[in-house]
Amino acid sequence: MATRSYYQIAIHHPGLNKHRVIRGNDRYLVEAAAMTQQRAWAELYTRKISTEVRRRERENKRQELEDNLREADERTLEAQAALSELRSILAATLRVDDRVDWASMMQPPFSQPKPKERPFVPLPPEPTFDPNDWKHRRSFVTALVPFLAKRAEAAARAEFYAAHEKWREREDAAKGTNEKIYAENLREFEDWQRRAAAYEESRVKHNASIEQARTTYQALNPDAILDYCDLVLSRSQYADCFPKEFELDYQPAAKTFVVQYQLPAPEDLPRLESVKFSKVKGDFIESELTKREFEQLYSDVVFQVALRTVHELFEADVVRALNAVIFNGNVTALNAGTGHKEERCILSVCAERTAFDVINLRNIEPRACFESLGGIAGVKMLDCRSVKPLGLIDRSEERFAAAQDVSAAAPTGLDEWHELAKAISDPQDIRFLPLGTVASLLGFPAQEKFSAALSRELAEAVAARGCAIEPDARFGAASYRADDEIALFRPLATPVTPAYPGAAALLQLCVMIAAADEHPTEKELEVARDFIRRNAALTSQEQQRLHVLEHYLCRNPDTANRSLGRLAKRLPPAQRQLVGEVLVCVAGADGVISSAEWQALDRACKVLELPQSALDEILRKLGANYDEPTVQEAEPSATGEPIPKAVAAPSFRLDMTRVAAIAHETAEVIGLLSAVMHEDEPKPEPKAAPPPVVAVEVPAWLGTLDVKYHAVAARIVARPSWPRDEFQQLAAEFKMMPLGVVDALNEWADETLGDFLLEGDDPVSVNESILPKQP
Amino acid sequence: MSEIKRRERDAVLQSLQAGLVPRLGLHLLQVGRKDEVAALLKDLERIEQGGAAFRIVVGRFGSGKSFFLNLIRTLALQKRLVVAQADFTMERRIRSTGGEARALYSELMRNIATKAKPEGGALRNLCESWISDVHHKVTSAGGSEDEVKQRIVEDLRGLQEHVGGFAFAQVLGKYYEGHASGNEALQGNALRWLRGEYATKTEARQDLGVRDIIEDENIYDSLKLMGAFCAKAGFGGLLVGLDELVVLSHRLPNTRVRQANYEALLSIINDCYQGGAANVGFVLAGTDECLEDKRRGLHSYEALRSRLVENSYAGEGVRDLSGPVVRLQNLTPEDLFVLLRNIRHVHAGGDAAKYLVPDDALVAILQRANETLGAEYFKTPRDVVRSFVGLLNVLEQNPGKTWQELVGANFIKKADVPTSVEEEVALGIAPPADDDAELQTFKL
Repeated sequence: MATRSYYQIAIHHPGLNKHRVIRGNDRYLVEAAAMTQQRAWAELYTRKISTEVRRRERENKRQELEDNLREADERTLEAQAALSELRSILAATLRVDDRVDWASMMQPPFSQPKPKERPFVPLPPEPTFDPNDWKHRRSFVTALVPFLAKRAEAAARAEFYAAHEKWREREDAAKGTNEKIYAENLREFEDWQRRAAAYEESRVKHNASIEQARTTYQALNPDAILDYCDLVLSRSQYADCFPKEFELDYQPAAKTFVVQYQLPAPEDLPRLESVKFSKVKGDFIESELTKREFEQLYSDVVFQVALRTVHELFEADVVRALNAVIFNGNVTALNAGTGHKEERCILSVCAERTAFDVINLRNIEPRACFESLGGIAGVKMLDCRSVKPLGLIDRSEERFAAAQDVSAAAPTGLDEWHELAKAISDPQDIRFLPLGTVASLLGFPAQEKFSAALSRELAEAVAARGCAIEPDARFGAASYRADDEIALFRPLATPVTPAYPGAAALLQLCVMIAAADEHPTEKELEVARDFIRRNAALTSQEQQRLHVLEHYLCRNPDTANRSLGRLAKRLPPAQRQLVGEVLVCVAGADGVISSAEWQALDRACKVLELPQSALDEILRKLGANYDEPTVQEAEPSATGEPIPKAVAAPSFRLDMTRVAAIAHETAEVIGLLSAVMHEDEPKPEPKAAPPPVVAVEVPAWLGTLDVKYHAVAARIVARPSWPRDEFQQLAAEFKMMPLGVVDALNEWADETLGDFLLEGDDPVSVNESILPKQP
Repeated sequence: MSEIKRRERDAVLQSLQAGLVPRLGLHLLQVGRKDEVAALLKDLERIEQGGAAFRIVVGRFGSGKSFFLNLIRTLALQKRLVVAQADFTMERRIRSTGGEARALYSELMRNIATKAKPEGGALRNLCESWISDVHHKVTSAGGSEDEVKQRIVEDLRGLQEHVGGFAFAQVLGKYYEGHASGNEALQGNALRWLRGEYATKTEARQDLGVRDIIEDENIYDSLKLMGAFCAKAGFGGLLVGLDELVVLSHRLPNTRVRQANYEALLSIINDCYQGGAANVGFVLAGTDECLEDKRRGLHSYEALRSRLVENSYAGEGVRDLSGPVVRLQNLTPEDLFVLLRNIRHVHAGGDAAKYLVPDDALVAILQRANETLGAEYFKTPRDVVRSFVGLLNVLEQNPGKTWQELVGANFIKKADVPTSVEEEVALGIAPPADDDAELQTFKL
């Protein structure tokens, strides 16, 4: 029987923990199968490992994402807590009793217990010799033999003496230790006594000073009142971003307390509102308060600080030493004009106790409350505009002697304003006042012209006090002048929409045309009103404003002229024709366009940059019929030749049905004007840098060369050739690069002079043959 | 006629006497070609307006292709375009893997010309005039050198959409840095990069800190980028002139290499006609053979042939110049006569009183050319022109001589050996056999 060989190979993969035995009768096949299997296992294992790695990576990423999300949440919570703390500055103090507890300020008696005595080490007992003791150890033989008995007794005695000697040593050591313990106990006791005595001494002094302060405070001593109030304000807790600095003054005669409080600058307050983690960007995204929100926050903070300080002072004033508190809020802000930081007072209030005590601080709106107390502040607190403090700290030495009644010096302007505001309590009432008067009543600095920003601020300030003015700079009116008249009224409580500025502008243009001949007629005004009514949905306040504005414009028709140029500039050229048509409709409202109206229209067309023929075209479109020229009849007159009266321009009639049709077509005018009025103020263009001052006379023949090369060209042609280094320096002197100069001049010279001006590289030669001959 | 500029006169006469096409003053010599020039002018306008153009100027050997190419170059310079011109050679091709394409780009950049530097070598001027402008603007406004660099990068941000645009802006920044610090080596390195002379990225990174270089693969993209930069720098764009197209068709020994180059041309044509390129134009010049040879010419590549094939309605007396191929008509004897008159005028500096020979002499010269060169002498005017300029020079230097004495039997000599590849091809000298040509059928 033939033998048959089998081959087998055992393969194992530790990573996969697999084992297999491959058998076969062909060695190479077995080996090949084993190799294949191992390769398959290896691939499998690689896949497994990579899967595991990917899983771990995913896990890590997920973990990291969770961490980041958690961190974002935590940072959001912190930011919200910080903002919440700022928003509740006033509420926080309402939960606190701000009165100073004198008793709590007294120091208690010395309360440290006496030091405990360390116990002494006990002395060891003295050993005694028992004469009978040796008998216990005698044996029968020892008892019988006296010699042995004596020797045993002697040994016992020797043993005793040794023990006694050891006892004496231990006793000496214990006594030494006890002496040390005694000394230590004594020292600790003496220390305690000393501390107690010192504390008692300081306590007596402290309590005496507190008692003294209380006594003097209760006796209404001005210094004591200052110290007391300082203490009250020092104990008031604010967030870290507050400077916590203040200066105090007390004017006992008027029982008025002046606080000059350092408020945080806008940049000191946190702006962060929330933090999110973006999975896409893999980064934290911080959201800050919008400008409006931040402005509201800052405004809230500063007014709350003012109210809180006043509240704390009045609440702590148990002896009724304060009748009024003047709070001046100062901010250290950058002066854009000087570039230096300067301190300025941004809000000031003089709060009377009687008025303040009745306020329920839990339900107030900080700014409204502040203003109800007669406080003054800029419209936008973020601007840190300075206001005149209602009272100042008297820094003279004799301040108490020459105490001034601050309350008596309270601004009369505000009182007058309040009186004025009361007088126009009805929405129908309109007061026409010089703008300078209104500005001074509101504490604005006296000046002839108000900038656009200041004009808007003034309008805002009026609005903040519940009134309104027309023309309103916030809604497209021109900047104010001090001697301008404005209309003051109490507006209805509906909003002003973006459509209003356009309607107001159109009304101004219409009234300007209507007022061209004489006083605007009711028909003309009715056409203007009709245009506006048809084409804009106005709120009740807007209608009221237009009514006021119409009154105002009829009183001051010249002011509309001032706006015309500004409006025209901002109108897209394509739309000017449409505005022109509306104006013609108004002018022809009574069926006749007078020569004065014609002139006004002509002027409007010029300002609107409409072509000469535009007016004729509009009139033709509207179906105008020119009258036949009339010949002035001769009148019987005396001798001599009278100068004939000026003949009015031919008037013509309009087809009013066409006018009505046009009126319907101009619905977009309002929207158009609104859009124009909402455009930003044109920004002044940056001034170009002045050209380098070069003391070189530029020849006339260089006129066609780019201006920036004039000076350098004039210098170059002054010499026949330039070494390369000098040419480079020359170019650098004019802030240019050498080849740039060469190319520019050569290109120009080739066109103008017929050939290149500069040749060569080093030196650069001037082709003088092409230069014009000098006269 | 107005007075002729000295440098143009010298350039024209020197080139003509050497048998070369002058680079300056071509407008002084131009004869005819009105339609062709008009068509190319339209191309230049298109380039100026942000478009692209591609033309192949085709004509037989000596028909004035190079002249025409240089004329277009002059017109382009006049229209404030930047012109880069080079000849195809075995070492300078449009597609290669061994650095030949980069060599072509380098040659183009070396020959780059502007209106203010028409003789070439204006790359430095081109960069510097733009940077100088930026430098002047920023520093006049009180800006620092760092701000100038920042402005350079900002202004060139628009180029970053092109391949290599970012590196290009960086390199120009380095050029300015070199200027500001007086480091001419750095400026030289920047120009070297712009000329495509860096062979390895490592070297470029060490010298300039950029990670990209101009390589064989991206020369077309780099040309487009340069076109965009020219437009940015206030020029109309970039016109690329490539002469001796016949080298690609009849001197490349490898079909595959030839096809690769044709493929590159095809992609350029496609790009230019499909609006993929802006402010760049290409004008190539080649002979009839290099276009029409079905085995080696551009028509051997079917995709190219379909794009270059001329309008079937064009023919005798009917021309269509809207296609990419501009076929130059041969000169006539009358054209040659006018050419000689123009040369005489240039030689006299534009002053008719200084003419050295009368019109009779020109007629005599043409007669002599007919005798010496054969009936079609006027189709290849190079030899005639060369001899005529030589005659004028001799007469100028020897006032005692007359033209009759000089225009003898040996006045015009035909060149013994071909002077260019085109001439070789025209003369029927066989091109080298393709390395990879299929085996020919043969009999034992």
